[in-house]
Amino acid sequence: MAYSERAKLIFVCGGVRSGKNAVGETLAADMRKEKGRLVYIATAQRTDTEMEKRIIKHQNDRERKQEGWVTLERQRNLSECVKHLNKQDTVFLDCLTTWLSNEMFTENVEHQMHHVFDQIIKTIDYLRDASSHVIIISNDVFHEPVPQERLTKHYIKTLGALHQYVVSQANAAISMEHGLPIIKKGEVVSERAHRMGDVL
Amino acid sequence: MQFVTGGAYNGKKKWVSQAFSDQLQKEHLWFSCYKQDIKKLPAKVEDDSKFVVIEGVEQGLRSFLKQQTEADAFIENYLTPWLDWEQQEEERELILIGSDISKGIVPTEREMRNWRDETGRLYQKLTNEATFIHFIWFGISSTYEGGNKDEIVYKNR
Repeated sequence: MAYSERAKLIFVCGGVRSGKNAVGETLAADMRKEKGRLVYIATAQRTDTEMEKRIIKHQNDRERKQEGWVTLERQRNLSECVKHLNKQDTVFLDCLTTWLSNEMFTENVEHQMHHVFDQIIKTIDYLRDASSHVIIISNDVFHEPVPQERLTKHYIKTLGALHQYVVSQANAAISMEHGLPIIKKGEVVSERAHRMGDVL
Repeated sequence: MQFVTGGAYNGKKKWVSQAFSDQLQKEHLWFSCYKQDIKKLPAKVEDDSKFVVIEGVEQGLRSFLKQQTEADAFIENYLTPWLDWEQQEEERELILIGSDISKGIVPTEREMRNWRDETGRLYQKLTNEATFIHFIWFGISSTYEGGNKDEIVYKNR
């Protein structure tokens, strides 16, 4: 498929409670195509009741906005989502951090670790080929001493490489600082998302 | 001196390689504290190098602190000679690269806490000393004037 047909890619990254989802969801709603849906790809696993509550809260928040979100729950192998997408859809991927840990820290996959990076960037391309916009949310976990435990270190290194790759490919990249979206790359056309810094 | 910082695995080294590619094509010294102990840092360049990069200053400080508790001696022993070297000729340039390790949970081990504190203090001094400070965010730089001047000089690039 020609590159021009690839979905626009937007990257939103920040710390915990930085407002990345709120800004990302606003962008998604504003960029949504007339015939397209808002497709939320949720990668979180329902591991305990707190996580369950968190997921339900996010779902309720989206429903309350009545923007017609569709949720796909998928922990790994996100290329499976492609068959549920239409080219007009806006995809909101929450989030790269969890997706990578799901891919890396499953049983018996250690031998595949080197392939995880390639597999994820390929999957992002598949998602872009199948939609009109892809918004990827991720966490900034790079501002502390890197843990020396082998798997954790490998995880952070891979996540850093993925962030660099996504930013290099992105049409727009946003660093979230305490609710304020800081545009690091490209232009963000949503007036609403720009103003959110004041509102949140 | 120019100070390049940002989170781990954010592409700081790659950014320096690209931003200063002309200087790096000529004779230069690139010392990585991740690959060699800071004790191995040469005191001078033997050739006609005009460009010196010290990468991983936080790691250099960490190994230094394992033997010494006085963090100021780190600057005196390892950085001051290069800052002086830079001053001696117009074309000389010193680049220091350091990972930001300041924003996580307070470490439980005393050694880690001390290292983190001293790295923070060191970076304040470097920022004050630098002509430019470059914050790297996944390959994208934001450049500010050093010396605590709160002014954006360049746009993101």
